[in-house]
Amino acid sequence: MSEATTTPALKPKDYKGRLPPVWCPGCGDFGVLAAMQRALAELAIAPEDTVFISGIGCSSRFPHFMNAYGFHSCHGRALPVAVGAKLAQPERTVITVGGDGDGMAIGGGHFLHAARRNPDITYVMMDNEIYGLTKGQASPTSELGLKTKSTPFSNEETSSDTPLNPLALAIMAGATFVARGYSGKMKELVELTKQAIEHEGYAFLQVISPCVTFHDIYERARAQQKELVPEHDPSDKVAAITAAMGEPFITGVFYQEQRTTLEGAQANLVKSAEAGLDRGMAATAAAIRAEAGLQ
Amino acid sequence: MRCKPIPSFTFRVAGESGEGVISAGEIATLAISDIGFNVFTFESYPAEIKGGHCWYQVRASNEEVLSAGSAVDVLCAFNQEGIDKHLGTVRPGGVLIYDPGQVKEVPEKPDLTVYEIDFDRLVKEKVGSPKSKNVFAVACFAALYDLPADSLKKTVRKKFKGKNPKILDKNDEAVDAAYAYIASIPRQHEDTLQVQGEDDDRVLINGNDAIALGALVSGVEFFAGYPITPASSILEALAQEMPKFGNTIIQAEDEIAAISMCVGASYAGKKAMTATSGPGLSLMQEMFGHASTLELPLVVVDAMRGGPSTGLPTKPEQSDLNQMVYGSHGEASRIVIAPAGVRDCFFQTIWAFNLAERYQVPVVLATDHALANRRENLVLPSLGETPVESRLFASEEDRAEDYKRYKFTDTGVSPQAIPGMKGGMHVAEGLEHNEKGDPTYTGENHTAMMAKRMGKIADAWKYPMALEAFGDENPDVLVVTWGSSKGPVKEAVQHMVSEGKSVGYLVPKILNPLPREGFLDKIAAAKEVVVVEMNYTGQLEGLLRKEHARDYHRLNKVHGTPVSWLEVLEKLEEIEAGVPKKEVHA
Ligand SMILES: Cc1ncc(C[n+]2csc(CCOP(=O)(O)OP(=O)(O)O)c2C)c(N)n1
Ligand code: SF4
Ligand SMILES: [Mg+2]
Repeated sequence: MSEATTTPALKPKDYKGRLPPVWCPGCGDFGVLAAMQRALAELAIAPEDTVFISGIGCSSRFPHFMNAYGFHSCHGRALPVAVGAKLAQPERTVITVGGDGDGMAIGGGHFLHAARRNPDITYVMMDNEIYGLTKGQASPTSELGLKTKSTPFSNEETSSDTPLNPLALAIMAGATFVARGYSGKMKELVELTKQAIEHEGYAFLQVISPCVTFHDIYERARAQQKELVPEHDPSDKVAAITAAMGEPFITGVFYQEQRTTLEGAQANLVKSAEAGLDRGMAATAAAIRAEAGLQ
Repeated sequence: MRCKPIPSFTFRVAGESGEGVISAGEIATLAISDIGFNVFTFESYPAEIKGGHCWYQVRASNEEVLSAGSAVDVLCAFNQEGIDKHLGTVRPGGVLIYDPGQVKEVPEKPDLTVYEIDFDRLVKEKVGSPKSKNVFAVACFAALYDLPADSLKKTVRKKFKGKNPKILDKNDEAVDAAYAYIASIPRQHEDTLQVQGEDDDRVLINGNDAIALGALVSGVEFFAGYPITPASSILEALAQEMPKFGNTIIQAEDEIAAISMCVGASYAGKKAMTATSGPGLSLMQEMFGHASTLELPLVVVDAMRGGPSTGLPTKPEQSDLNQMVYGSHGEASRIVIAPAGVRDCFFQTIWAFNLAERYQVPVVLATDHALANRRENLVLPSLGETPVESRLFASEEDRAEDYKRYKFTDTGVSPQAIPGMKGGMHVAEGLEHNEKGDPTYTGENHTAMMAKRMGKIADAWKYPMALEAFGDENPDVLVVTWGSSKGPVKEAVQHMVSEGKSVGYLVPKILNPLPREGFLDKIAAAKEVVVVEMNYTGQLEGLLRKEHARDYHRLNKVHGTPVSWLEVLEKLEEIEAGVPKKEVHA
């Protein structure tokens, strides 16, 4: 089925979708989209070999704005859909995109299990610490005590909802590439996106991507954002977790390791299982198929 | 003493779970199958792993066995509970074998032949291996009913194939010891089991195995599942077998992930399947409707158990029909298929894949605890006229310009492009979309897309195995049932027909959309219609009522056990006698 190609020099605009983004002017997601188009062009991955899989949210509209295959799934379910698509076609570049609510609340269970299985997919989470699409309710990454439409009386005394830490969770769950970028820092974001896609294994990229309409954190992000210290060793898991649990707007590659991928493990399994085709139910099935003239 | 061959025969073994009761039942089943009988098993075990009462029975005949039957010929009780719970089901003239070491009291029962055999002591003394008790007990039964000892030894070796040779030798010793013991005591019963034939190429499999085999023959390429009784054995069988064909199977973190992975794989062009029970199907509903909207083929097995909530995890029920037909929000088109026997599980699974692929739609394949676990010995199926179909993929021409994933066509089915195909890029979109897949909210578009998705499956019932009919073609009393309840219905209807009564039955194997010709028209024409199903509210009857408003008799049972043929017979006699229609909860 595959018609993999080597594509002649592609430009970011070749990855632009037919539909114009429906985001508010100034939304951080524009930066993530631009970085993605540049990264793919620089990596020269053919659009038809690329699949964007999202959940539901403002950020999850992303696939429509790319020139690539896309899948706009249910709220929170992008990761398992992506795992299925990747196992079905290991040769494709599968990129999951979505928001903090999509990934950490309703999809929180999948967040851990996708990471531990290490499929060779990329997951870009556009974190605005709020529910954008449903117009401004609290998210699992909202800071403690944040007053929102759904938490109108919230302050540090009336709330106990400690925000989740996506980076630390991803590292502990077994993700093999974990990084954070900021939608306002294009050059670095392009680099991080490229590295995430090129990483062989599960790559998690959290992008601080402010929602200008319901929870504008630009000022804080701009003021506090800085890069990981150059001495940071991404192969040191404990150091990576410590850094992830530190200041919230630090960007860079926190953690990276090489480990057998899900598809690689499946391929090994198949290799060792094929010898058993003459035994058990498989042999019966093969006989019935052969008798019916099926391959 | 004179020996009397018998045409149909039921052996039941009962005791504490963990004591080898189930494996004794399995050995007996294999042994009876290996001398050429048709068999039909039923097992009952607690939801807990250790402890609790369990039992296993096999009904055998040289004709087709349709149900678990109603009376037991031989009861083998491992303990007091085994007697207390089951002695009542032993027929007059039947046999009780029990272990006096484990039993304090055998209640008075007229016309009962009793063999007191101290299994535990004898096994210890003669074989020196308490673990062989199950083999020893079955061998006592086999000796009493004149099964050749050599045949039994072969059967036992087959059952424990791959085990330590010392264990296999011990089993042989247990068989010899049992036959020697039985030869040393006086025979008190007349019945015997005559060898019907030598080994043929039959396989002894249960409903879930038949589904797994059907899936493999259909060329299933992707399976994701989450363990749940009574569906787990499908996941386990395919975990063994699918990698041999180079295909992928994964145990997901929950049912939502399982179906989502399958939908992702189907989007990428693979034949995908998941298997669950009611609680899992409840969790899958959102993604199921999503697959329907995305027009992606998918097979979802629902092996039903008693509900609602956690319910009766190890008991059969047919109470998920409404959620299979109506589940998920909005109105999501889908096909629902329900095999009615073990052999049927194999063929209907192939049809489930065929219709999913043909119509690009999710299909629910309904089975239940009784059918999932019950074993029958089948002649190895041959596909014959049954095709194995694949979906319509987008050709190069379809993709040459302006490819439309959800293109309006005469059939309502649109060629699918998958990642990697040039010119086929689109977004699989759960928002209402236009032909290209772009979100579109106009009323006209929604009307047209709903009609496309609903209309394409309207004729799905027109496949060769969609309906089973038996008895009078235009009977006075028409019985309608589905799934595993077919067996007892057929047995009762056969009985009525043999008495010259105008009775017949119809079993639709496709429950959505329901067959029109040969089914709904017959229901409209029949004088009396009775619907038999294992649920409280009459779910199939509800579907029929919607298609054709008329008076229906009902036989509903929510008891954790299948409908028995005698219950059906009683109902039919009542209808004959003109008893007014009312709900009957057996
Ligand atoms: C099952 C389900 N529950 C709730 C919703 C409503 N819903 C849509 S998007 C969303 C939250 C989006 O927040 P986030 O994932 O952070 O994305 P953002 O809009 O901020 O990019 C919710 C609750 C839904 N679509 N489906
Ligand atoms: S609501 Fe917020 S997240 Fe959504 S598009 Fe507008 S700015 Fe972006
Ligand atoms: Mg958000």
